[in-house]
Amino acid sequence: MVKEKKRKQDTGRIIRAAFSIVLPLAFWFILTVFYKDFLLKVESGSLFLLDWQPLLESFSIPGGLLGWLGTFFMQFLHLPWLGSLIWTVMLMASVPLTAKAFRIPGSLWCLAAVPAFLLAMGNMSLGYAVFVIKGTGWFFVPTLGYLAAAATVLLSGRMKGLCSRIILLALAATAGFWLAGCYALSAVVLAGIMALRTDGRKGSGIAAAAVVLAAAAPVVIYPLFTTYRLADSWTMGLPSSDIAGLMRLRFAYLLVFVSMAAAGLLAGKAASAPEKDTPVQICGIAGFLLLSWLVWYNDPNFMSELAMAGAADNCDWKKTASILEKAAQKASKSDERAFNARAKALERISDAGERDFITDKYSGKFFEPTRPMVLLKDLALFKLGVEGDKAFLYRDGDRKQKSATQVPMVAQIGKLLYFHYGMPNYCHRWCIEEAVEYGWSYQNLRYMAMTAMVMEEWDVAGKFLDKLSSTMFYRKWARQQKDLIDAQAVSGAAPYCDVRPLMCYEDRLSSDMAMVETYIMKHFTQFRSPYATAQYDRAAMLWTLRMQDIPTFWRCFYCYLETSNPKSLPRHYQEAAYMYSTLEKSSGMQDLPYDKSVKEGYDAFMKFSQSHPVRSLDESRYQFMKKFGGTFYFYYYFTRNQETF
Amino acid sequence: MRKLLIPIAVLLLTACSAGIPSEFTESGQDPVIFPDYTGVTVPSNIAPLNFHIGMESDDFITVISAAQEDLALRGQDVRIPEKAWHRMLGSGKVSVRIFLKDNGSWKACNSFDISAAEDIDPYISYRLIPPSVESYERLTISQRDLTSFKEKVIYANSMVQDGSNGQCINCHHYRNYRTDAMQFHARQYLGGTVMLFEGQLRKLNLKTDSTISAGVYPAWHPTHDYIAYSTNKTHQSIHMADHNRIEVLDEESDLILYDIRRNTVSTIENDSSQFECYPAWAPDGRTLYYVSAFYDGPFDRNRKDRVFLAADDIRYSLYAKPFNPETRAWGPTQTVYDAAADSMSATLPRVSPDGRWLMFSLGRQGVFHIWHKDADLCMMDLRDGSWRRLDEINSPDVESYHSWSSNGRWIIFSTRREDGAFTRLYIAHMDNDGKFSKPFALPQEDPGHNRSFMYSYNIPEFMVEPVKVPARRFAAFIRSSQAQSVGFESKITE
Repeated sequence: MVKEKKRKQDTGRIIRAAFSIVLPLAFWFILTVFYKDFLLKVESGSLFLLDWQPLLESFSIPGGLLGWLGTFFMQFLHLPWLGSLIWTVMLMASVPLTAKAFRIPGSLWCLAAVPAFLLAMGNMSLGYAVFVIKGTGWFFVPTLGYLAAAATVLLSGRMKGLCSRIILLALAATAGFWLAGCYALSAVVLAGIMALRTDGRKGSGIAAAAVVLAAAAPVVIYPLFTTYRLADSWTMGLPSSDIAGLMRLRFAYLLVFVSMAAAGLLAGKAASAPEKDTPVQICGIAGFLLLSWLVWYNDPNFMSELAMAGAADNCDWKKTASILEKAAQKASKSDERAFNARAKALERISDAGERDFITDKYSGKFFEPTRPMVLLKDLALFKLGVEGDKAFLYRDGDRKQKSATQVPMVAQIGKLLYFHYGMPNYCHRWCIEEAVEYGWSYQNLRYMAMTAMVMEEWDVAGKFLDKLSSTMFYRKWARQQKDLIDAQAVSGAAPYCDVRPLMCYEDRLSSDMAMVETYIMKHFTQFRSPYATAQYDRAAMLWTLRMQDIPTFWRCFYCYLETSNPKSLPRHYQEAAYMYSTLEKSSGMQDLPYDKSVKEGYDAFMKFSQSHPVRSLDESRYQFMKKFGGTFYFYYYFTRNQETF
Repeated sequence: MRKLLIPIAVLLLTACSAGIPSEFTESGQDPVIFPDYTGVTVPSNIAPLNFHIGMESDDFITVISAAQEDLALRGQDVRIPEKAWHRMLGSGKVSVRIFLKDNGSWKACNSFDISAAEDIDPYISYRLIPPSVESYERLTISQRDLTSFKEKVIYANSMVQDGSNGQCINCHHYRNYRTDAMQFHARQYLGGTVMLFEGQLRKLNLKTDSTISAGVYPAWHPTHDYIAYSTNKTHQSIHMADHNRIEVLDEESDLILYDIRRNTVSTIENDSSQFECYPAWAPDGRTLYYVSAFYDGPFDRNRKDRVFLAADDIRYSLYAKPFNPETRAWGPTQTVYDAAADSMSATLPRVSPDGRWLMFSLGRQGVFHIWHKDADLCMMDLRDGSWRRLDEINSPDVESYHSWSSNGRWIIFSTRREDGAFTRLYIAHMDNDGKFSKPFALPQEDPGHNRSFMYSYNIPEFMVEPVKVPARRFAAFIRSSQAQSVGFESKITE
């Protein structure tokens, strides 16, 4: 009997040790390998300066120090393996700390992992909210805040005297609140709850004092600050968002607090609970894994968008385009399966309404990129100089974000597109709007500096570069840019040498109404100046093909021929010119030197469309794509009314 | 005790002079410092002019000398102790010499002087704002003690705004430099014109059915309980390819007079073919100066777009209107300077406290010169109507909002001269003939402040005393009160 019990205990310990190592390792591995673009996006939206000033400024708001520490750790996400390792270690540290602070018995050790799990999911379930989340150091702050809170609870539990415990709680509710915001207040309440369970009558006094302190201390010290609303005192330090429905991080922390409050209340009972069998723990772990599967945001398009934007930020245009290509390739088998399944489903149906229903049902199963993916790919091909031959070889579309709230494209890639299409004032505008809303970041300082450099505003460029020079991972880039300025070599260096030729238009007053795609399209297709460059006209050609407007195409086409004087016409221009001239029955344009394959391809397309009547674009798209995908005429007929936002 | 401490301190400071290099060579070089405080005239009560030495060297010693005192400071950032500074400046002039150490030997740069002149009003207030287009997540109206580096928030929008319910705050303004009668606007969320008058806070909605907007740019009457306001329908647009990134224009604007005691507004000017703006009283309160531009486009839904299309041709001239404060009657409009006829646009008229000088900002077009790099400060002698550009204080970049000190000897103005993007405050001294000395940057404790600070300073206004109402009281009042509506009265003409 004793041997059997010992054997079970040993097995339990082995499983516990294995999970304590295997799960964190797996978590770290997944983050490093599969979520590095997400981590880089998180990092690029923060800013940690190696300067005392931000630290001093952090004291002007409760929880500011924690935010400052959060940004300190966020900078290490620049090296995703390192940043995620630090975070994983913090989460791991929270497990024994939780067990000790809340006196969770060994028999229920997996409960001690609940906060770590919730904190991890709080970040990893964000998805598109990463673009609109507010809070200094938000990625690490809840974890750091929880660690501080649990340590306070532990310390309080170990103190014997009533007075000293109340002094500790008073300090936590005042100085702690000042430094760590609401996490300190939650520590006070949790310590009170623990005292209630573990200290009998004395505990009731401590609990009452804790509640009073947590409620009253923020009110008492509020007059010392001018940086927030009194009503927000009890949420200071929690990330926030102006967009309704994007409060998941707060929700995650609230769950941490509630679960630990429950753990505190149950601590006494649980301590006397019998040793549970290992399967119970395994069920707990399985529960974590299942919940992770459900809430972890894992949309392939989102990940591709992040990867493409990251590559474009670094002007790695080949990589930018190849990500979309790979995403489409990866989806080819599932597309085929969806096509076959839909075909089977449609075989049995004759009613038109039902056919539409089936088509709609299956349309989401086909791979379709989001608008940012399409526009980033176009930009990349344009920068590589192959947009005329390759722009429509890639999958097109306007798949909506898999998100409750649609984050505007301008918040995702607005500044990037504006800068690289030679519209620096709009890049500047969105950088500064973003800085005002979400705080300065490495990314917007970089674009602000590049914008100033391309506008030859050296003093202000120097100001932004000085900021970046005070960072750990961007100082080298800043030094390189300063060297370019000192050597007066900006105009000849990448990316400026590609951007400046696009800045050949008359000044005008305008507003983009936050609609990036339509605004850039309008800019290139309607506001050509007499001194337009070949690059400008190439961009205009790309956008006029997207516009699908025949008169605009011809206008841009003539300009393109004039400034580029090409030896041979890129394939998509031929396809468009041949198709448009055929549609218009314009004999002059039908005599252009088209490749034989262009004419044959289009004629085959028309023939095929006659033999395969198109009942709805959604229904026929995949079938036509297999035969004619990669051509402008396929795009023209099957990619209509794209929704931009 | 104090008598004893001062000599001890002097002794200690003099001891610093042990750091003054005993052997050095004259480099003949003018020092490069930031901000540039070489040869400036400053108020005798101003905070220390801390600066950064913008030269390469192994070591730096700066020696500040006054009548009988030398103060040696080591390092590239020169932070002058406040007490020592005030004591030394009290002698009327300090001399500064920078020593640079290269390869073990010291070289002395040419010394420069800082002269002290009349005292300046001890406080200014300004708005701190990121140079953004539409966003205003965090704005503060702050006050600064000019004799030290103490800065305090008067009101911050973050004390009231609730998530996406944002609040824009602007146009802080005082009567006769005193803060017992003051106002500012809080726009949008829980908005209104917040006014402190006779010890009471009020929140007003100055928009009536007969006016185009609530009050915007204020001018508090110096002797009577009136405030002149412009009313504006303002829009902004972005330049596609210009170093002036933003253009701000009015689609409509008029002038109104708010009678505080009667709680009514009345029209001052509302010509539909004119954009009237920026009222400013003469010190006797019997003349109102303002600017106005001609625009006669139709009032339809495309008016805003048309105004922006015509942006290059919208030019403001200076006007004056006689006023009888007792009867509230207005006389006929007089042209003070027809800037539009010179293809220029004059804005922001401000009259000196002695009533002799009218300072204004002049650019090629438009009303919002803070975004116009060609905008310069100009000054008119109201005795004979002659005016000139203030070349001695202007820069190639923006000069815009300006304010006279209460003794009329100092002006403070906003400029983008340092980096072209972030507005900074500069102060200049005026002599009896209307000539200004070299302007100097508002002193900051951290010499690198202006280079690293990511906010712009907006609307600098002198005050002879600090705002005493705590920020939390303003915030609580704004949160808890409804904006009081005002009545409308007809204009009284002579």
